[in-house]
Amino acid sequence: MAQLGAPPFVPLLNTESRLGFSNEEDLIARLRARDLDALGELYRELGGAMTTLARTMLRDADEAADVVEDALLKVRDAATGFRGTRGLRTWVLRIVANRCHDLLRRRRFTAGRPEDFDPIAEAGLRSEPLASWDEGIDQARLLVVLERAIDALPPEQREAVVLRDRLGLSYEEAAETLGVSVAAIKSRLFRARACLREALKPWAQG
Amino acid sequence: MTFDRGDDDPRLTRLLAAVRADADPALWTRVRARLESRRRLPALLAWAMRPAALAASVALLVVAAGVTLMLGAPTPMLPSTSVAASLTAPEEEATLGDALVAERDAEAAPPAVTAGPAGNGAVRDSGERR
Repeated sequence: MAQLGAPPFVPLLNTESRLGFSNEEDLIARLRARDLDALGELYRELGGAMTTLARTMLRDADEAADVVEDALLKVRDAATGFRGTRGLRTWVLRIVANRCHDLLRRRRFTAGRPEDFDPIAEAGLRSEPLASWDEGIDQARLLVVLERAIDALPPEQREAVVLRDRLGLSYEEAAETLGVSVAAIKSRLFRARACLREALKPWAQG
Repeated sequence: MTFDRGDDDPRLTRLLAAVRADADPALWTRVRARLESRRRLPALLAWAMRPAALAASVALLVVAAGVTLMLGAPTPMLPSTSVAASLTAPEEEATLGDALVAERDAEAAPPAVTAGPAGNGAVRDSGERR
C-alpha cells in the first residue's frame, strides 16, 4: 500500500470530553425528566455515531433508520432508570448494537450480494477524501474493498472494528458498549484487522 | 510488520474512519412527532394501547363470550306441577304449541272429587254457596 502519511485521524466521537456535551450530568437529569429537547440534543451529538454503527452493521439504510428510531424511543423510556455509571454514549450505543444484533439474528437467509454491490452507497454511508492520499490509488475503490471485507466479518468482530476504529471509542468504552472484557475486544480487533489487512494486501503490494 | 493483540493500525484506522454516516434530521422529526403524539394520549389510553394490554383485553373478551354462551344455553324447562301429569308423554313435549294445548286441556278437565271419610252429616266443602 502506498504511504498515506501521518494519520490526521479525527474520531467521529469526541473522546476528549465525554460526548462533547457541556454537562453530561445535566443532560442525563433532563432525560430522566423526559425532556424532549434533551433527547434532541443527544441525537445531535450521537446521531452520527448511532447511524454509522447501525448502517455498517446492517448494510441497509432503512433498517438502520428503524434501529436508531427504536433506540431513541428506548432511551426516552429507560432514561428514568439510567444511573449514569457507564456513560451516556456507551449506554446509547449499546442499545443500538443490541438492536442490530437482534435484526442480524433474525436474518437467517440473506440473498448473496451482486458483484457490483457498493457497500458504502447501499448502506447510506459516505466516504470522506483522505488527506495526503497517493493519487495512484483509487481511494473510492479501496474503500469499497475495505467495506466488503468488513461486511464479511462476523458481527462480533465487525462491531468491535466500528466502535474502536470507525467511531473512535477507547478499548474500555468499546468493551462496556458490547458488555465484554477489554481482552475480548482486543482479541476481536486483532482477528478483524488481520482479515481486513488481508483484503487490502493487493493494494499494499501494488 | 507485526501486530500484537490490541495494537492499533493507524493506516487501517484512518481508512476505516473515512467512511461514516450523518444523523438524519428527518429521523429526529419523526421521533419527535411520535413522542408528542404519545404524550397527547391520556395515560389510561396509552396504557391500554400497549400490546400486552391489548392481548389481555382480547383474552378477556374471549372468556366473557364463552361464559355468556354457557349461561345463555337453553336449559330443559321444568314443567309446573299441574301440567306435569299431562306432559309425561314425549310426543306431547314435541312443540311449544303442543305443550300449551296440553296445559289448557289440563286446566279445563273437571277436578276429581273424592269422597271424604266423614261423609255422613258432615258439611261438604264444595266451594259452592248454598
